[in-house]
Amino acid sequence: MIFRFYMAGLLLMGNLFAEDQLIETYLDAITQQKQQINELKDRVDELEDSLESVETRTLVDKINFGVGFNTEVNSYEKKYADGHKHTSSNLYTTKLMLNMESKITKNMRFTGRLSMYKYWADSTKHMYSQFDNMQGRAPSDSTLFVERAYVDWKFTGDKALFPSVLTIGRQPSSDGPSHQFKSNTTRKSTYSALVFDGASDGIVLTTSLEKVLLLKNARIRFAYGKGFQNDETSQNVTNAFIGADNSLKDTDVYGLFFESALFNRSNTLFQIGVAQMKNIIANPLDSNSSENKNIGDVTFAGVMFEGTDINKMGLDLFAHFAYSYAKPSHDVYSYNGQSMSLLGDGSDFESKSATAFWLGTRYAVSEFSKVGVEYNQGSRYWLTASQGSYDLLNKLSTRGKAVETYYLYAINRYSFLRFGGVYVDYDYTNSGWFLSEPKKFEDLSSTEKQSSVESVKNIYLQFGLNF
Amino acid sequence: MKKYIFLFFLFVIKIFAVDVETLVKELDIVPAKKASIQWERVFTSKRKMKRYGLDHLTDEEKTVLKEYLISHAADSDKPKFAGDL
Repeated sequence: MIFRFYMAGLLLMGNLFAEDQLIETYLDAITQQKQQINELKDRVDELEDSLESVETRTLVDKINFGVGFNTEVNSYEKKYADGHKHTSSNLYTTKLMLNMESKITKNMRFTGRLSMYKYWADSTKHMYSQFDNMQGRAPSDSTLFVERAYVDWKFTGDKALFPSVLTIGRQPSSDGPSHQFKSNTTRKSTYSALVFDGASDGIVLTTSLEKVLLLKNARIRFAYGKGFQNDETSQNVTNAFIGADNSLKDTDVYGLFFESALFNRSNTLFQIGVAQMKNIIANPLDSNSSENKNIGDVTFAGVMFEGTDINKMGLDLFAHFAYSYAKPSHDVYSYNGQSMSLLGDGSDFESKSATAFWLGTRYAVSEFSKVGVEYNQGSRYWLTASQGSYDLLNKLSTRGKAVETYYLYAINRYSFLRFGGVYVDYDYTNSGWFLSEPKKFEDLSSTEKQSSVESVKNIYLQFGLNF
Repeated sequence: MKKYIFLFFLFVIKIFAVDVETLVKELDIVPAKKASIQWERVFTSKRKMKRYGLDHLTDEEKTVLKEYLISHAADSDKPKFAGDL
């Protein structure tokens, strides 16, 4: 009996001892885990501090910068109406674009672009670079121009039936659809480049119609801008139409546009629009206020279709059609003894209409190589507001035919080389200009033929960067 | 001539549908939340692919999705036009 109690006591002590051991093991494990948790807490605190310093730096960096860069060598051959030719075989240019963006709030964003565009080893401020819509767009010296500076302000709530955005300032109106294919980038402007290409100042109201029409990217836009401004309150500047006390009117621009995706595919774009430039100034660089005139109004209408990487086949397609209607005033502008009016010679004030179209395609031959071809054609009185085009030939303003082919090699995601050729065959004179009558070359005098370009051939090589 | 070009254009757009955007919505992924290099990293990590629900996709779906996410990443080349907010 005593032995049994003894053995039972031993067993109980053994169990108790084993339990003690187990408890001690558990306690050790808990202690270790507590230690690990404390170490993890310290590491999380360290990580939090590091993240906060990164966040602070991000919040304090108010502007994000990007860079666009093009260097190009061109070989031009111009043929004049009298048969003689002129060649410029190695014309080098460089264009720099410093892109800026600030997300101010969820509903407000600032976007800007500073641009420099110059011929190599030439700091001449060329005449056309002084036109407001061509600053940073036509070769000049190494000055940085403000090509874009605008704020997008979404002033409606997220749940509004018609979400709307006001875009105020120097607009995104250059390098528009479908120039992005040649530049191996995405859409960079609001409007079809066949109708408008250049810098501009204005206010645009964009209202989304997606919820109502159930169409992807459906938007309607109302645009107002100034082509030229006559500041009647300032008397201390030399340009005639600013500070002048004459009857020169501002050039006002009004536009109405609709756009959407096609068949709800986000890689497509359909756009239709109409715009009017009222009271066009004859010559914004003419300081003689008594000679400068408002020469009339021009109305533009255009429709375009575009598809990018259609059905993942590497195929891009676009088609633009446009119409211009010029209504001259009865004012005549005189310059160097020559009388001119809107598309006229100072004696013809009839309204004139014209059409133009621009077609193109680009195909990805491989992951790095693409080939493209573009064709555009304009009729006799074709007018476009594409004078601010980066293209030295402003081929989309051609009153005749132009064809361009190119091979594009993507060096990496951000840069490319493009080798191509352009042929422009003018049917009429003065392509791209509002003043003077477009004439057939056979109707020109022998003196006029010596200075009138009938066709241009261009071969070029471009290095481009978008980062 | 213009009519035939327009009809050809509509035909090419209409006949095939590539809908990676529906896939992105189903996976509840926002491409602009990461930079392109960060999205590339996701596709090299089994743990991250599982976290975003990408591990059950076919190879073709993964390829198309990866290309879409990189081309719409926070640092991608984005379109610019008035009213884009």
